[in-house]
Amino acid sequence: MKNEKKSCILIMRIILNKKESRFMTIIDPSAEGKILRIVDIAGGEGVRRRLFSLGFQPGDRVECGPRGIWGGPIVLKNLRTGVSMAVGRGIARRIVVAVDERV
Amino acid sequence: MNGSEGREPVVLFIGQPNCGKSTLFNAIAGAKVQSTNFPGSTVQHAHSRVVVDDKILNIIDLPGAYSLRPSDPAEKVALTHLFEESPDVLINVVDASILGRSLELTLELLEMGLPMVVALNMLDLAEKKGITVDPAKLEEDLGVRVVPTIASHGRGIRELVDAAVIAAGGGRRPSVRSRWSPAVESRIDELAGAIPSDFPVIANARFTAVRMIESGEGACADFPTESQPGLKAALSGVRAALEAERGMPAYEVLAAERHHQAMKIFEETSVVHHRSRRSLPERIDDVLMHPFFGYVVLAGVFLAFFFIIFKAGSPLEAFFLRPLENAKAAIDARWGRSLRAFLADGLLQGIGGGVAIVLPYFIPLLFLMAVLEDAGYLSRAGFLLDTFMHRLGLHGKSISPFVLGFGCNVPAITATRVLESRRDRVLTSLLIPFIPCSARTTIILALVAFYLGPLWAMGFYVANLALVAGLGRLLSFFMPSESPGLILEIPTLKLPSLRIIALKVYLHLKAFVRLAWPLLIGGSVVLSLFQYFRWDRTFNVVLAPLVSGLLGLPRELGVTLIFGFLRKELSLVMLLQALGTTYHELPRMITKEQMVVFTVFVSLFIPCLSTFITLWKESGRKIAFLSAGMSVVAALVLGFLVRLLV
Repeated sequence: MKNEKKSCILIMRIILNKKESRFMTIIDPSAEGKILRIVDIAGGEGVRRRLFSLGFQPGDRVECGPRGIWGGPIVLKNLRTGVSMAVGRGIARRIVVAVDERV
Repeated sequence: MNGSEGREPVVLFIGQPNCGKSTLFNAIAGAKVQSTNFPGSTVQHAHSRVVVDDKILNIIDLPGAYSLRPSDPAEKVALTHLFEESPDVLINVVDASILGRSLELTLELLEMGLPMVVALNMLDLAEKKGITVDPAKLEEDLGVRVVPTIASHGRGIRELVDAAVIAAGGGRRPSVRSRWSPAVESRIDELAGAIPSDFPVIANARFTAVRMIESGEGACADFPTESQPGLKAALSGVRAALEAERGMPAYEVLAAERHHQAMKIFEETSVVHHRSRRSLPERIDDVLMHPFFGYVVLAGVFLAFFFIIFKAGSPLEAFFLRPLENAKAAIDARWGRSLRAFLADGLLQGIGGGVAIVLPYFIPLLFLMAVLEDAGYLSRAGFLLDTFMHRLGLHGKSISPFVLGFGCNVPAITATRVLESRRDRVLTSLLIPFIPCSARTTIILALVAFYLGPLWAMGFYVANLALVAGLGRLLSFFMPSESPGLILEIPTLKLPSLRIIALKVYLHLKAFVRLAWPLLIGGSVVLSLFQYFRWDRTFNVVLAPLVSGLLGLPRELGVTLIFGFLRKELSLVMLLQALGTTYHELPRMITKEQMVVFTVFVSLFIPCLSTFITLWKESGRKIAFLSAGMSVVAALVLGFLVRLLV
């Protein structure tokens, strides 16, 4: 699917060009405690739909909260809707974010 | 009679998980449903008939659904009912503290065009978060009646019922007003127009069209489009056009637009007061979810849980047992060894066992469970334990069924419906029967803690959990992981409401008295008949190689183990009866080591009858028998090992 290809390219860019890129995934340690904006969810339809139904969509401002020890889940709070969720690392590495400059 | 064409109006409660739907339903229907502060605690629907102003309403509580596109079996239950019950009015419960998200479901429901009332719930929580919602403005925006409620305090219930009665009695239907952008709107119209008049639409052609566009890629599971080549072509055309216009899949175009519509309504109807300081629940959460202190708190909660139950339970137990033992002595002295004495004894043991041995531990356990559930601690525990659950091949979402399992395995197995994949559901269901439920906790506390000390009981618990972990690893070796990873909503922490806790304890107790007592009393009486006619010896002789040979227990206990299949507590009540002793004299009849072996065996051996039936219903016959087989093997092997070690 076109969209997934775009997301994959995005993730590749992040990995290859980390210093220059504004983008990262929430698994990135520097995301912790920051206010970010969701750029894309680079997952298959199932994951995207599940996150959408919990009210997390590209464009939303989120706060990256505490993370579980030993590769545990990461808490993500949607500042627009006020909803918090915990996502496992497998899903966290698919949530592409950018630092929100408006703050 | 009641003015609605001779039919009782059907009122359907629908809302997103954890929006307080069940609490609201209970406030109207009287105590019927379990509610918790964990997303997805209602996994089955509940029916209730209530009389309001001499009108009978049939109200139905559905499992929470985030959207009308189901992703787990609990959500599927909700949708099947929504589409098939032909409700007269929908009560859409929305959580005011997360209004923006809650409205996404509301917008979907509005498109069905059914009479609808919105219950704007959890207003108190919203205020605490600094959100003020204007119900009148919301009513104007949505075009349906909005009733502010605080379910946990019973506020707004009366108004809600009145509004539902008016809406059901031919009140106004929401005008299906378009909120889509013109480009999307024209595509929906195009598809709705292509739906033939004899097509089995849901609600209306427009709603059906939207659902078709949004339904899973390629698979229009809900709609028989195969037999309608024209419609199928139109659908593909509309999807392709949307995709080309926006550069994203068609379902995402709709999802994104709905998200923005909901946020727009939220922003128009609410004022958010931003605070510079973090709020109290947020600061508590910082500790509860802290990578170090979080686990300290978790361990503390676990320890406190057992010490409180034991400290509250054991004096009560001793207090209740005394009159019971006196009565038994009186019966023995008066009637000797007649049939009458045996029957009276059995009856006394059954009633006494239920009251004196089970309730003192059961009530504090229910109370503390309800506190943890209502405060919202379970999802924090899920977050903390997710990483460990991963080692078992599961994830943190299974924590809710597991924790429920400490109360009773039956609702725990039903609660696996909140898990998305069948593999996770089966694996969790297979492990749940090894979780010591309240019946087994009672046995552990009444035997192990009472005679050997609370530390032994704790050790027993820890060993039991280690067994669950070991079995989890073993099973996931045979069922390789395809777990999609954790996505778990973390609801806002709240102060537990005494009202809800009391209600929950009452509900559990009622179910216990109704289901367990007849079995306990009946079982005891049957055992006394067995003893009088000496039939129990046949069982005991047959089982002797296992009971005394392998496990080193007195052979009289053989028959009690069989009865444990009906209810686990029955084994404990019968233990005394079979040995012909009283609770205080028990240590003279069997040694402490034998008590441990007995407890290990009874705890593990075979899921009780209700658990077995539930497993069969939820996961099939094979899984039920597999579980029973695993339990019997584990009980025999571990019972034998414990006998050798202790």
